[in-house]
Amino acid sequence: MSSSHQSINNRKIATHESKAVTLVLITVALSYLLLFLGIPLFAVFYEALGKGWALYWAALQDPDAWSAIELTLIAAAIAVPANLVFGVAAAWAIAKFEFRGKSVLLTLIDLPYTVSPLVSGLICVLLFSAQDWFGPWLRKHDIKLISAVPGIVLVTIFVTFPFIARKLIPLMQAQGKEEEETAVSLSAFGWQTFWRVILPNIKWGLLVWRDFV
Amino acid sequence: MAQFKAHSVLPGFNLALGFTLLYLSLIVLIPLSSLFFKTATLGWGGFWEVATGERVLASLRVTFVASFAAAVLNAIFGLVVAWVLVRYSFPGKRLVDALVDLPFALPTAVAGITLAMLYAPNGWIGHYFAEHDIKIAYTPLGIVVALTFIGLPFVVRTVQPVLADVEAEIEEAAASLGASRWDVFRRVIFPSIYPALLTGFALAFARSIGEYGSVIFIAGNMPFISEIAPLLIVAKLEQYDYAGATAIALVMLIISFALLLAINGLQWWSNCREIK
Repeated sequence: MSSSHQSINNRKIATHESKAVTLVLITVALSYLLLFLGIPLFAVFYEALGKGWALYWAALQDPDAWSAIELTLIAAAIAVPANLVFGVAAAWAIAKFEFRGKSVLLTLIDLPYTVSPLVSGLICVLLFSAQDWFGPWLRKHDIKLISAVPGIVLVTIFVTFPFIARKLIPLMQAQGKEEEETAVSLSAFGWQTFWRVILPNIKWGLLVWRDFV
Repeated sequence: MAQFKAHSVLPGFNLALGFTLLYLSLIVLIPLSSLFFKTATLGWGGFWEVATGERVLASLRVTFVASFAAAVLNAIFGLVVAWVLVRYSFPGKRLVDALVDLPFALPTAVAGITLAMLYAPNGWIGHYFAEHDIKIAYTPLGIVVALTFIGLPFVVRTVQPVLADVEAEIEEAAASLGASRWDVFRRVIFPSIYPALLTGFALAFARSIGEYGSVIFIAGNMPFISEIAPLLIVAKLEQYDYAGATAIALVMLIISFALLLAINGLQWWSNCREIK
């Protein structure tokens, strides 16, 4: 009796932390978030609303503000699906297969993060401005990119490029490939495997990431 | 010659990799190559002169050291936050979970101004440190604070889903074989979240290197001490020195590529070791 009681106790210890550790971890996590996130965010709202709701409301009714918001949403509406398709393809190739040059490919996917948004803008100007590269061709076909919507969409795609792929890769790696292999060995077709097995597995990863890209 | 790809029964490799490479070339490689070509107009001598200027070297050191420190900080505490959010329940957990993403949503300049205000010697947080003669805003420490804020979601958001995916059965099996809680963490849980942690670290690091908007407000921007490399790029742009600006951008790009490749290689290497 006493030995079985003890073993239950032991199991509890090995699958859960003690109360003290739990408390310490929660305290550490929350104070870290408070110091770097909570207080700054509070200060932002404090400043934004400090001058009263009226001023805030006035800023929102400015047509310039609305067209800016609209433009941001349009850019996101194009960039997110484009990067979503890329993200799933890249994650599938990288997480489930072994091939040479994988870490180089991964690093290239990360690279847009290290580029300052400033430099991305500069690159866009370099690529599409009148004298360089695609400039003459674009002018011939009367397409305007710089200081127009397509330019903004392009830069948005570039800047958010790694988000979805990089989110999915560790998730798909951790899930292993047994499920997909089972599906294939049960003679499921390629797309069937994708819709029935892969998508349900990564669906949450996709949803979490989408809302702030 | 060794095979390019290990055998696998799974379909879709060619399609997935082909599409990945096409998209990568269009969106990343071709645009970035324009940096090379613009810099090439300087010639080797001109490039070397810009890249090894004392002020440029100092700013590069500040950028990479501060980014690294912030990424380490985020890796440690981000892991704790992810752990707490996945494993424990406490009042306000959903709110905290939603807050983690906000550094992505907030314009970086707003973040920078707010952080500078808070961590200044007379700010809400800064004055506690000022009592102990520690200055945070307008010093390199301030840069680390801003970069920590910017990179905070990365580690949490990459570790979280993987940690949630760790199966309780494995932990129970380890426990029933007599492992202590610390052993279970070290030998069972940590190895499975380690790739995600490294990914989060790499992303936070990468994001910090390019960060501009939030840092300039809190850094003080003193040459040789707290001036970051992107600021020098802006300075060059303002003088219409496009080739000089791309030269600095190119140096940053090459260093970042080498460092990220090392981090990603580390992950790949540890995977290989695990399989053996």
